[in-house]
Amino acid sequence: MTSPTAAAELEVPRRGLAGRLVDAGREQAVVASGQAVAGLGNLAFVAVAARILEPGAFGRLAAFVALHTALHLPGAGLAASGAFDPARARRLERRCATAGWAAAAVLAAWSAPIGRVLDLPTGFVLALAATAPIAPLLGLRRGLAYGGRRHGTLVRSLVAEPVTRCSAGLALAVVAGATGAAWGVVAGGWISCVVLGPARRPRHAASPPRRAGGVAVGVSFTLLALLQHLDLVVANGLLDDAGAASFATLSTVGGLVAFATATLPLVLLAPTEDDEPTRLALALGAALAVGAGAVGLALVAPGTVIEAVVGDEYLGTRHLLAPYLGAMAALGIARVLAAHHACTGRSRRVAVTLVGVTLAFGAGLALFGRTEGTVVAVSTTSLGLAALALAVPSGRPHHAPRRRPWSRARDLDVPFLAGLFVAAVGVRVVTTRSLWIDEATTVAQARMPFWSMLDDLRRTDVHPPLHHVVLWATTRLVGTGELAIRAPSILAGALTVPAAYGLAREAFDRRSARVVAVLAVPAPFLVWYSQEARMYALFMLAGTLAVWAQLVALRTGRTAAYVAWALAAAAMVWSQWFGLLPLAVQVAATVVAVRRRAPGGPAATRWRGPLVALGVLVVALVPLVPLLADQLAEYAERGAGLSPAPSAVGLDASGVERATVSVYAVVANGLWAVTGYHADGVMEQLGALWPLAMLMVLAALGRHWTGRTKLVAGVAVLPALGLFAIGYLKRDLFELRYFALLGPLLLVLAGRVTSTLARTRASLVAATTALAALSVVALVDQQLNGANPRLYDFRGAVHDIVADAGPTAEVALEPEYLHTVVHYYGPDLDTTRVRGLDASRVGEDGIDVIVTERFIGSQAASALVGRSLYELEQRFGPPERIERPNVIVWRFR
Amino acid sequence: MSDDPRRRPPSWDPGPPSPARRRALAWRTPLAVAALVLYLTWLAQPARIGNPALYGLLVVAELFNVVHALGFWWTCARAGHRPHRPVTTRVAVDVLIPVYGEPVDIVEPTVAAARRLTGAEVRVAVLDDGGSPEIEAMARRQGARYVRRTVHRGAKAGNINHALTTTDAPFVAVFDCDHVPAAEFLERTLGHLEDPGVALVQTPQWYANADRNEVAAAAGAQQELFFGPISRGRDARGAMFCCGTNMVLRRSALEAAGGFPEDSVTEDFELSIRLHEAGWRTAYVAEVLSAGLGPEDMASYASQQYRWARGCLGAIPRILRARLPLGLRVQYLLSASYFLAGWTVLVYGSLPVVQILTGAQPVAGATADEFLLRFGPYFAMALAMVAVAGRGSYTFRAFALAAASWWIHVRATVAALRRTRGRFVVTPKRGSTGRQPRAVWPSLAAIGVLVVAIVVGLSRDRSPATLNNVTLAVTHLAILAAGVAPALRRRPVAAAATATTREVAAA
Repeated sequence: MTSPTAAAELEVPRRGLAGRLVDAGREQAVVASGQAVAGLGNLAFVAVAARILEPGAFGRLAAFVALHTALHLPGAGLAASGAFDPARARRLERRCATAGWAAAAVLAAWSAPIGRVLDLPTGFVLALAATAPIAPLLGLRRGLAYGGRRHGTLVRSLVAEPVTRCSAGLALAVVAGATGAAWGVVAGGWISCVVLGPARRPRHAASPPRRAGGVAVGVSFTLLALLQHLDLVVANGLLDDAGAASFATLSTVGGLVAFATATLPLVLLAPTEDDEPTRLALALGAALAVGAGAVGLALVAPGTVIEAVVGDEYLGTRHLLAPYLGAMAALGIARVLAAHHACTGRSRRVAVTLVGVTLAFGAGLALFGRTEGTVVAVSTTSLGLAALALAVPSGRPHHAPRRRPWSRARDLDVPFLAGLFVAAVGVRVVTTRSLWIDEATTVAQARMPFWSMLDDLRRTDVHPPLHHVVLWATTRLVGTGELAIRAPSILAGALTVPAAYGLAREAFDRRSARVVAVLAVPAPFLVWYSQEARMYALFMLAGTLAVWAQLVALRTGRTAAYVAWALAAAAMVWSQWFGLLPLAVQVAATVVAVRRRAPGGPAATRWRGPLVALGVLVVALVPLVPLLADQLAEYAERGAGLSPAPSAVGLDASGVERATVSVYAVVANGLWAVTGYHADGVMEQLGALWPLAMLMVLAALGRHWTGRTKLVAGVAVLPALGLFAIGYLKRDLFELRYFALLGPLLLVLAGRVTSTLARTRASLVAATTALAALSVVALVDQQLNGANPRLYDFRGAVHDIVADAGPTAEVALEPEYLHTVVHYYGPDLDTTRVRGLDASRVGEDGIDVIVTERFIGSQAASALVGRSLYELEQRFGPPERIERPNVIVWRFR
Repeated sequence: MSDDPRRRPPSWDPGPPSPARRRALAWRTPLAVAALVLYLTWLAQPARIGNPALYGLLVVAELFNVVHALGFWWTCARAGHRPHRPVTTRVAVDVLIPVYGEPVDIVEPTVAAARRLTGAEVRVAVLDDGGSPEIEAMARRQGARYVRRTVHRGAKAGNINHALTTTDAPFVAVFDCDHVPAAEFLERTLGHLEDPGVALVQTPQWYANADRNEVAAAAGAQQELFFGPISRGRDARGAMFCCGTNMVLRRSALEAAGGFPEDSVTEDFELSIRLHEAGWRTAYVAEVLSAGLGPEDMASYASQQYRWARGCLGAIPRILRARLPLGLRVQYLLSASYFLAGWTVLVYGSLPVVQILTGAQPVAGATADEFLLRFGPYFAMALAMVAVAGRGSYTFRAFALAAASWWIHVRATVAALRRTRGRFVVTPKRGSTGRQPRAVWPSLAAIGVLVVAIVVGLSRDRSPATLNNVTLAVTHLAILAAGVAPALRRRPVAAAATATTREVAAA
């Protein structure tokens, strides 16, 4: 006999995917149309205001709008909370009104001192006071409209606000300037709130049941709103007037993108019986489409977009538009994911994640928010991180039934890794830097005919040929632009993310592997070498794959796995000679492991795989022997390395203390592997944190070290110790890049430690988010802090010269090896050395002298170039000095 | 099936290490000594003296730890294996189980297991100082003798001494009422007592509830280090002492020593000194032959530690006066003075606070580079020795719990110096389920001081020197926080840690 419920279920016709999409899309489309009209209205308001107001007044209006938005931040949380749990929100209306009126009274009473503190006219503060009563109410009522699915009312409310702004606001702006426009903004909010009407119970339908997690949803969406506006508030405080106004234009355009996707999560949050995956797919697709479209438009025609929105006065910010819109696109995706997690019972996890991201964002802005560019960089990274953290697949929601083990993870890991790979590529492309001396040399070599390049490598270089061969091929396919020559490294660096995941999963478990993969995306050290057109990213990738393959081989004993290990290890050595050190550790570990294996069969069976691998290694590495011999001979002939090889001259400028190896060198290299490269002052501060290492060692007490952990740790540390010993004979060789495999392997171990210490899922997400946020902060400092001794802005310096003196200008440089990098950026520049320069032969147009800061800081440099510089000064007078990170240009005219 | 963890097979083997591990310990020991000498000689140079008072405190603390590290390495260097001696004659053994207010379901499995002991003529006696009718009924039910004193004096020692007057077997086994012996307990131990010079055979204490309670786990890890390499090493040097439970004694030796001393809270420690003074030998069987329950909350742990600390520190003058060979005397001193370690925690934790607040530094004329070059290897080797000797049993939580007990040692020292009489407090066998901040308030106060120092330091400047001291303070804070954390968490109502009476009866 069929139960009534079952019978009712049978009567409901099952709908196909198209039908479900239509259902889900209809309500999104209705609300989005209202939002679009509102967006266009606001856009029109800003566009007209930017034209009719002076830049300073427009900046003040932007600041007011930012404060107005800040006042409405709790409203964002209330809207989400109301949409998610209308029953609970309805009871809050009176309290919201009381709180709003109290805030209004305080603001009005203290308007004058508050105005002085905020550097705003009192009229603006009074306008803020006027908006305070409806700040929480508007959000709450909109949330209730979403939750009650009263989409018509909602659309009317959304449209009423910009209509009021454009009519009353602009009229007031003409009459009373920025203050009038501000009052128009306030009036828009009031009218919108009135249109929504007071909260009341639905008359006919029964109240939906209470849903758990409403507070966490409110907190999450308040934080998301904060994330959207934090940069504008900080920029207004930290940047000068012009900078703040420029950033305000970016924020305005970016706000449009964020605005366009703002309703998607709120519709998703409303209680419904509809199909959740379909609704999520639709909302996510819409957010992705809007974001991608906006970024695409900003890439194709940034100037047009800026001009259309705020006029040509702010065109100077057009190069920042695409990354900033990317940040806003990421925010849109994060909001949808947050709503989805809330609906599936994971609202606490979302809140914890967003707290971490917000703290990281704030810290990043406070530390690096010096220019519009750095603010955009921090925003892009932080919001990208937010989307990434929320995209991490999480476990079983609290109220959901337990699924079969494996099924969920198996389904989600591929998209998870694909997402992280895309994010890794994005981070490595976005956070770019000028070409480095060694890279320019590599490019020059890759431009040679193939056999000439190999011959040059043999005679003048100290590296094996794999990276050069790859670069030789790619330069012929995609040219020698900055991105093109770094593409192999970027790709290898991004592939290291899934490779590290695979290694961690094989060595430990899926939980650790996910942490490792997330941390690998912004890991500063990995990002640094992924951006360098050199062999180190390839070395790290091959090394990571080699350890992974070795673990698989030792576990399964399969010959194919041993062959894979041998091939990856050979690629490691083909990338970097010092790959022989981890290879030696791996071979020793294999011998020990196979010997210890329980004798379950004949010895020949146990040793078959290792012997085949040995054969593959021999075959793969023997061709390198003549090259190695030739390079060693040339190296010895150059004076046992007293002068570095042309492709390693950058070491001179890398800021490494060269006298002897020391504990500090060990600490510094360890810190670089974890935190990336930083200014000397920052490194000193980081070095002072050594007691934390003591704590970590203590925390490792009693932890069982499996053979796998020992292998990973051994391959990470023993080559470094070997090079430390060698460093006593030849200091240059104790340099992190030569044991760069330490970076990804430390990351794998760190992921393991994190997943072991964090017992609950929430604490794991929090710890991973915190570590990723720290990585992002370190990454931003590494890439943007001009005091980083490894950061050389040759690109900017040469562009300055070309912009001022033309592409064929006369340039004197020192030291000599700068000519490759200078010629890369200015191929037609007429270069000569400063040393021995005859000032009388310099043309009438003058000359630019380019030197590295490190070079000019040495006494020997003064002896070498002092006379030439003196003569130039006698002839042309005191030069104009232009400083770029670690590069100085003197302009003699 | 019962959920009593004491019924499961032990998950820990205190036996001798593998040859590979023994070799690892052997080659690490000289390296550790070399690292220690390198550090001490560097620290002892006059140029290192910064603030003389702080430097003095640091040196005293370091010397204390160095002495104990050397003692540990010395002890572990001979941590061997005592071969099994089978029992050749059947003898009578009085099995004494002192009880004082513990619930029946805790005691009954112990009595039931004692009744099943093989290898001797077993006479089980339940020594009830609590005068509980339920315990009396249980003893009858299990076929054990029920002994109740009329005059309560001398706590556990007095209870056992009273029982000795009512029994007459040549050997006496003592079990705390929560320690369930294995059936073969006497078969594995009595053989060693066939040597007429041996007065005592001790076996390890193992906390069976370590996998379900974090305090018990940390306390259990501390026990495993003691009953693992340390006790094996002591045994090899003839210095194993009585640990109060899981042991068999020769009645004649016990009576010759005057029974268990009743004027000490660590009657077992004091008894051992008397036995060794009288020329008796002791033996240690490194096999888990009983399963006990460790303290399940911080108040219980603190109470247990204070009793041990007070008793051992109070015994130091007695050890100094005792007529013992030098090696034995040193072993006793090492054990007793361990409970001064809390002072070193106090010193180490104070140094960064003082530096941040006053700028005074204990060590001068040295860069971080130089310091790390000397201190790093010593620190690493010391931990490596603990890890290798203890086979990874000693965990960070055990270390943190010990560090967070610094105030217990300080309090016990003061009590010992003032000669305040210690009181024997039975370690509660069931933990509280609520939070117990009062049980750890001195450590919480220390955490507060560290937090203040950190805030002051960070608000003052970000120089490497300040950051270094702030990080040191953070390190101490993290360790203390990890140590006191169990006291600040609610514990779920204990999953039945013991068997019910009915289950025992059924078994």
